[in-house]
Amino acid sequence: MITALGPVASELGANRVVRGVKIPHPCGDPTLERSRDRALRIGLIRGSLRALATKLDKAEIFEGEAA
Amino acid sequence: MRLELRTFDVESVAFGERTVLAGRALTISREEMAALAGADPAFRSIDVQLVRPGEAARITQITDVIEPRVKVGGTAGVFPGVLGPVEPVGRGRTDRLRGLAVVTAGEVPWLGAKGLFVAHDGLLDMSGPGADLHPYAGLHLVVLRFEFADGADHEACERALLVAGQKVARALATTAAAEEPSLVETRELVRPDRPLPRVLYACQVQSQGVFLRSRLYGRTLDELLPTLVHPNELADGALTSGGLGGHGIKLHTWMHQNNPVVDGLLARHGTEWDFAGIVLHRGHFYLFEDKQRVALRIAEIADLLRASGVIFTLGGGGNNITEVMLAIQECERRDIRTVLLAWEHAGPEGSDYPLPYAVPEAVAIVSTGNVDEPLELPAMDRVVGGAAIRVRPEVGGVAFPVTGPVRLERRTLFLGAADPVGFQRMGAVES
Repeated sequence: MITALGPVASELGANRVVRGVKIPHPCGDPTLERSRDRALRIGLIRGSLRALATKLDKAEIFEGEAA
Repeated sequence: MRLELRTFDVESVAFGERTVLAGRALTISREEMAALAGADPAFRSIDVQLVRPGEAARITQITDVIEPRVKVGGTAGVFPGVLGPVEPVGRGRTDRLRGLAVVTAGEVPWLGAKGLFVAHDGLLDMSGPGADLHPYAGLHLVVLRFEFADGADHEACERALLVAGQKVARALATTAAAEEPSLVETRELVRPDRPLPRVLYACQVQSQGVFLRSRLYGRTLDELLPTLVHPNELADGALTSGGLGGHGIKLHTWMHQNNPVVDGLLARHGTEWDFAGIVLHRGHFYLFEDKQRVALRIAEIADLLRASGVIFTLGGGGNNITEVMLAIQECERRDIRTVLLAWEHAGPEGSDYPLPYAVPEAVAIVSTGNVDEPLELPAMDRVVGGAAIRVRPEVGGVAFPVTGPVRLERRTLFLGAADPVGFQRMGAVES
């Protein structure tokens, strides 16, 4: 789950949480210039894929990656 | 900080040539009030209407409700930072007209606004089942209904409405000067003569941008970090509302002036507890870290004030519960007991999980009503406002007729339906 409220998502039972940008726009940042926003979004997807591929013993919060 | 609050009861209201209070009968010059309220260039026109307590009337598109108050015998004025300079209030003497409220209303143009910042329409009934849900049905209302000028943007409309309502409220209260008050209270947080549990009130206010704002001494609270205020400051209008949207859980200025949690805490201050003050705080921050920062500040203020307990109420709805729940957690971890007054999102049957977020430490919660419960309202004899209000802004707006019976699938449009400080005359039954 990509969310700006990571600890809340973990407490509610989400095992793989990726730290998102803000509540109104977890998967991007409209204040950024378009190419930087695109890089941010690619990084969030990469972080999410890494989270999916990680074997977990307990819930974990992941960060986005550099694009 | 010592305030003498003088109450003047108003039992009848009528239009007349002059604005004057004689005993408990108030006469209002319609022209005078219209001139006072309608002067702002953001307005195209103004209509002043009187609504009686319990009248079969429906009022639509309300932006705020204000109790008439004025400061007398000193330099400071009510609504500091909006109507007058930023200077100390909560001291000296204040006159209030009880049984009367000023209502500002009008169809605020949407101007292409989206999402949160659409000026949502709402409604309020003065009789029937809806009248039990809000504190205004027993009051005489002076409704100022505005039309807006072409070219006036939302900031200008919001400002004009705020100032107009407060000016009229202040002007009406000045009529009390020569009359005898029916009640005189002295409000002061005198240090108790014996050790008593200290109780703090953590009052959350909504402030998210234009038409969803609260102001403290005129300053918008969109970026508020928790701050401590004296209850007398609220009595003098230092905290004002001004909002459209979330009507069912909206705190109007009238509710800040007459907050029952504050009045209750003052009533038994010095005998059962020691009222430590009010922490104003804001929810709806967009990052978990921001929410945690608010929670920590509230808990540290409570700890510094040596509070034994904190009462929490909500301002607005949605993710603002997170700040409050985190603050409850931080307080309880410091052995400071907490109680929360909260609306429920419990679904139409009242059987769904009622809060978007909760912590295990939150064990004392009082429900102020279920926002999701459908509401059936009969037709009213009179509608103060147009024949329809606008709903569903996400599809560009749909006209929702209000002249006949009304069924609301959720209560968000109905003022006070689940108000977060506990005015409503209703309860819950365990089943």
